[in-house]
Amino acid sequence: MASVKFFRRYAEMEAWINNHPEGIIVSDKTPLLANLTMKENIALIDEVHRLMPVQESQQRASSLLAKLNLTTIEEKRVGTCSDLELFATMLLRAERMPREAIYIVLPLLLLGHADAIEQTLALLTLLDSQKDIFILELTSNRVHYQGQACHISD
Amino acid sequence: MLNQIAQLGDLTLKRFNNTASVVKFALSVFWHAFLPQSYHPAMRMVLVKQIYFTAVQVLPVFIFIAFIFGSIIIGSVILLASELGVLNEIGSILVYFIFNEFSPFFTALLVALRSGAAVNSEIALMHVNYELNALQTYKIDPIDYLFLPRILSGVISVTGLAIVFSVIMLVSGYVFSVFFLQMELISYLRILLNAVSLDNILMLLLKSMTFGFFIMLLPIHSGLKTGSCYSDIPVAVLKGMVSLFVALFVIEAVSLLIWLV
Repeated sequence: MASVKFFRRYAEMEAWINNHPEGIIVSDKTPLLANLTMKENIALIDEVHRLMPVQESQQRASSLLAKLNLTTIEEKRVGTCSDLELFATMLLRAERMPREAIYIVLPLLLLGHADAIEQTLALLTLLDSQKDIFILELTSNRVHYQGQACHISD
Repeated sequence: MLNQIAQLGDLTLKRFNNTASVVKFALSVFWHAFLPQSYHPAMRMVLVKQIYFTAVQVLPVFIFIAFIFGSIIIGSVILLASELGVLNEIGSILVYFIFNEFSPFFTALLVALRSGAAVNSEIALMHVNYELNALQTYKIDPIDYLFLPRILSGVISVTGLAIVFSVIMLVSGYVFSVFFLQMELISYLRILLNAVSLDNILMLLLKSMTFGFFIMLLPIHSGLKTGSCYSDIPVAVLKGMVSLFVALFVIEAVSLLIWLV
């Protein structure tokens, strides 16, 4: 289950991230590469960090997208995907990163609508990651997390 | 007066700092080119794609332009040589003109116009969109993944295209020799073989490689210096292309000096 951490200010969140380098961030400051397809964006991590051949890494990326029921976006690029599809791809890219944790920074900002938290948690359930997943959020957005299936830690 | 001197000093310092920054960047890329870990599968994929975009995709248009311009220039050179009564030196004139001067420079101009501008805007856009930041966060070295394959593709493509250009110009030279000098193919080839030296071929290769290196390096460097707004992108492209064209003429002048010395 994902844990949610609340911060009063963005600067505090940044400081926390800097003090916890064991995780990789998913945020609006780490967008996908616009000149690659969704599949290629995910595969890039394996190609660089595991020296996996391109064909094999792309097959793995395809299977990950299938796990989130997103096979239709494999060949799409940033401009033709919805915010949710982009977010899911960013999540899968972070999943392939050889790090122990994933920090999802301000999902409400990334997805841009009130259902963002439900959609994020639904994606995390489908992903079923073995990594520690933290949602980093501002205290002012705390109300959106009430009643959701996530662990809240302050 | 003092104000003008201060402005001149300020401008000189800016130019010096920019040149130092380019040299530092070039050395960094050069160093990465010798590291085996730079050549990961993603980098090799980008390299292949870049060679395709820079050298293969452009080939039909390039051959057409090379044939038209090559024919005009070689035709003019042969006519001029005929008028000046130096036809016995036509082999040396053609070899020097094609290998040392026209092929590498004209190829460099074409590639700079097409790929240099594209790379400059691509890197500037990536910079503004935080994509370079994303690469660094995900521990993907932009030099290995973005810059090195583009620069290597520039070196390979400009050299390859310059050789193609030389061949097309030599063929044009033969066509004109047949019409104006009633020269046979064997005679034409003998004249060229007698005139060409290893120095000519080395100059063609070295000059093309140098052009290719800077055609990609300078637009990338300019793209990295873009501000944080979308409106900064055209300014970065403009500055990058101007500095690239200045660099091309400087390389041309330096190569001429080296040849003369």
